Amino acid sequence: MGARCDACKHVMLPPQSVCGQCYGYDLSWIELSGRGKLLYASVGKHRLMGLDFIQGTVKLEEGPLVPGMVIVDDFDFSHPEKIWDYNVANISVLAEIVKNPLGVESIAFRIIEPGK
Amino acid sequence: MAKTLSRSVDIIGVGLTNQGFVSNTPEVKYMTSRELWSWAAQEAVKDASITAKKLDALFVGNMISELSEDQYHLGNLLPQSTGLTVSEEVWKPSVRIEGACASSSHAIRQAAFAIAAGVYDIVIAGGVEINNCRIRSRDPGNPRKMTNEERLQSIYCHYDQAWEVSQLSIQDMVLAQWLIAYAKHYRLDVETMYDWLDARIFSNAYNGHLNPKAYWNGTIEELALNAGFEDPVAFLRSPDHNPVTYWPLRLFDGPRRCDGASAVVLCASEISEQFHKKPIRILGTGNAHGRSFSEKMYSQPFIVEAARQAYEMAGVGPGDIDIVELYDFVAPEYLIPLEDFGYFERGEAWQAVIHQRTRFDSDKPVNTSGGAAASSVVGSVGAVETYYLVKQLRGEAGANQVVPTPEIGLMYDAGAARDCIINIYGRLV
Repeated sequence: MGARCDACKHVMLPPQSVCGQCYGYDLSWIELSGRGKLLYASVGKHRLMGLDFIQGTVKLEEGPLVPGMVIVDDFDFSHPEKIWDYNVANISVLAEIVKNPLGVESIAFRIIEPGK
Repeated sequence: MAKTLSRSVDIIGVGLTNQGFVSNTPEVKYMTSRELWSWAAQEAVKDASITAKKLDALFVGNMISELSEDQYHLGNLLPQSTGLTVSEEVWKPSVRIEGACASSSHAIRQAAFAIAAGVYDIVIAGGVEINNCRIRSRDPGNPRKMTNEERLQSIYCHYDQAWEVSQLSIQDMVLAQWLIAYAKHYRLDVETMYDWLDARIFSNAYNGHLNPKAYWNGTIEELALNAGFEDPVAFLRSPDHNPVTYWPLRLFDGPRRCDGASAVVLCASEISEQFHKKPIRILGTGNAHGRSFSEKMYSQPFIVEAARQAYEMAGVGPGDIDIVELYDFVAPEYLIPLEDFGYFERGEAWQAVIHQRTRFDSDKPVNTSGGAAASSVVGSVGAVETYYLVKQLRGEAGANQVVPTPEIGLMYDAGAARDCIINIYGRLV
């Protein structure tokens, strides 16, 4: 869920109590589609969990930018440089709620349309 | 109309401890924040040619003393040992300021505002941090190095817990994307990105190895030879000696965290020359916040905004800056700010670093101290940068003095890569 300004329709995630664009206080909840584009991604090991994973920045189709884990089922973590290919392609992603390795229910993005 | 300080403020004294680990570095061993701060403060007060009695107030930046020392409330702990006393039982105004790695920059900025407002005439500000060791209140005589978990927690607690940490959004990975975005935008290939990362390490090390106050002032060539490499680039590309952390970043693209303190004595300009023959003026200051990621990523709007404020207040432009000290906790924080505050034109900074124009003896000096690769005392960063810039602007920087002596210097600090402070300092000519 995100917040949308009743006046200017600006969408915010995380939800805020004041519109970051027109400063209005009248906001409504909005269910976000979860669809977006992967703008950038890096790969590394979570130092506390000792877990290799991909972290990306996604622009949702409603507008907000969201950082989060990216799920690429067949990614070869022994070649982290291969993440470059995912940065230069125009990749569509879809959010899903997963229980991450920290045990927290979180947003992750699964690649759905490589190159489109 | 430009926003300016209503009363001009100068820096008349600077002090800096040696930096290391309070668990085992001889010069700082067993010190707590109180002793580290006292060292830096005494040096700054002496440098200002005043006595502590002249000080009206204290603003100290600190990021994690509750985690490293079980100690909150440094604002109350430090005035007595700094000499900010009205009597043995009554001490002068003092406060701790926390803004992640920008804590001491905020302290200096707020101290300048307090003088500009006419509330005080002479103020001591700066930062102190034990950020690589753990001192427990039940066993204060036995500092030890932080565990990996303690060290990471002390960093992670400065990010958004609900929307970043719990979501596995790691700041260093976002910063890696700054560089990826830059390469993508300027059509640099992966090999050029690697070349740039190496070049920054060489530039910092070239500058830092002449800095006697740096925690690490070795050279990459020495490290390479000791590891059996004739070619230092091959050493930096070695997965055994410099492994990938967050691609494309490697271990040496991060900081060398250590413990220490730095202090700055600020003074109303109309009286500063009574105390120091070479006062350094605070020409401008700017602060803006953001989320550390943006749609374009190769430029961070909060840095651009902080720079705009600072330049407007100073009445100078990017072309007037002779020297830069910036906080490169992770390598991309070196590249992106250099263009966002205009020290280099858009798309030119990467080449300038590869060509080593950022060495102290070249035409665009950056981090003559050696930067975060030489020492990173997180809550004291801005005060440390101010120390080095003041020394450079006075012509007192020693072996790595920029020639001719620079007139205007720019300091960039960022708390958690999202809370940017830019100060512009000028020598009175």
